[in-house]
Amino acid sequence: MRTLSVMFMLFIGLGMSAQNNGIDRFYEKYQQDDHFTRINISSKMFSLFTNFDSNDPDEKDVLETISKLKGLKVLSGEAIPNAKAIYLDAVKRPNAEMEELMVVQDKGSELKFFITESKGIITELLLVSYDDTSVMMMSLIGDIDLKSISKLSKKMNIDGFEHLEKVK
Amino acid sequence: MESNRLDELAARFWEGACSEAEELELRKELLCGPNLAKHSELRSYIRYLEQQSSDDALGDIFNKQILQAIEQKKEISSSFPWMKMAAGIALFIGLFFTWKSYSDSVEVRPVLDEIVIVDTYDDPEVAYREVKKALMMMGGKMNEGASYAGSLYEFEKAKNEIEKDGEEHSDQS
Repeated sequence: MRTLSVMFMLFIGLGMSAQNNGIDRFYEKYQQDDHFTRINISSKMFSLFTNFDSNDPDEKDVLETISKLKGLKVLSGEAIPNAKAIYLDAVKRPNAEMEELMVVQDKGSELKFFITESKGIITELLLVSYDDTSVMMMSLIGDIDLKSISKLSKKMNIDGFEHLEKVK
Repeated sequence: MESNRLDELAARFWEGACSEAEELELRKELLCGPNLAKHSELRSYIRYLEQQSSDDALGDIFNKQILQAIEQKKEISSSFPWMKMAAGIALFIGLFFTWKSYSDSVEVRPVLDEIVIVDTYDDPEVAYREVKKALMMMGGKMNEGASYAGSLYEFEKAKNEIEKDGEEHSDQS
């Protein structure tokens, strides 16, 4: 009976902690810190993007990819003396359901991608990186197609951002 | 009882030849009958035995207490599986509600975000530009990682081919 009670309490504890993880934890923590820039784009704002139209085929691809997204959060810190420590804390356990997708290591910098997958669909993509004195966390929520994001990035790197002005 | 019969039984008692019925008869006579001097020693002995047996015997109250204790124990042990089952059910209910509250919180998270954290941009075009920039950045970093993994693969492949060629040349020579 005592063992069952302990197990029950532990499960509740884990459930509670699982709710307060990922980028939200850091969003709250560094809310008042001027070294950090926070960007939040809600699902409501994303729904407004569906009104946009473009004749450019590349831009249409971007719009199509974005139409499946529901939220974006960015937390970016500059001139942070303990950037690596924040990064290590963030990648330690971003979310109970998240899996590590990719790590890119370089001299004095590191980047990790995490995903949350549900029924074969990626519902969250989280990027955490640090570089000397800067740290960044970026979380995309929605129906995420990694291939199309990668493809878009390749295309845009060639074409540049000049098509942005064409967006109505 | 006749004196001769008592004498005979006493003699048989001392010899250890008394049957159970004879011993009972002797005891009854000595304890309840006339007090004869010649059997005073045997009477004292019989009284002593009677006293001992009554001391050793456990009373009815004791028996009742023991039986009560056994019954109580039976009741506790029979109700224990029910307690286990009740604890198991309580655990599953607890787990279900914990899971439900967690899944609900995940589902309503975007809604809560709208309430707690307001949008950074009011202008949808600016917001769109930021989303696009974020997408390009994420895609770029993904491609960077993938190309690094690809170049590592190419390097390994080239290395293996060189090693293979080297081995073939050494075999020919």
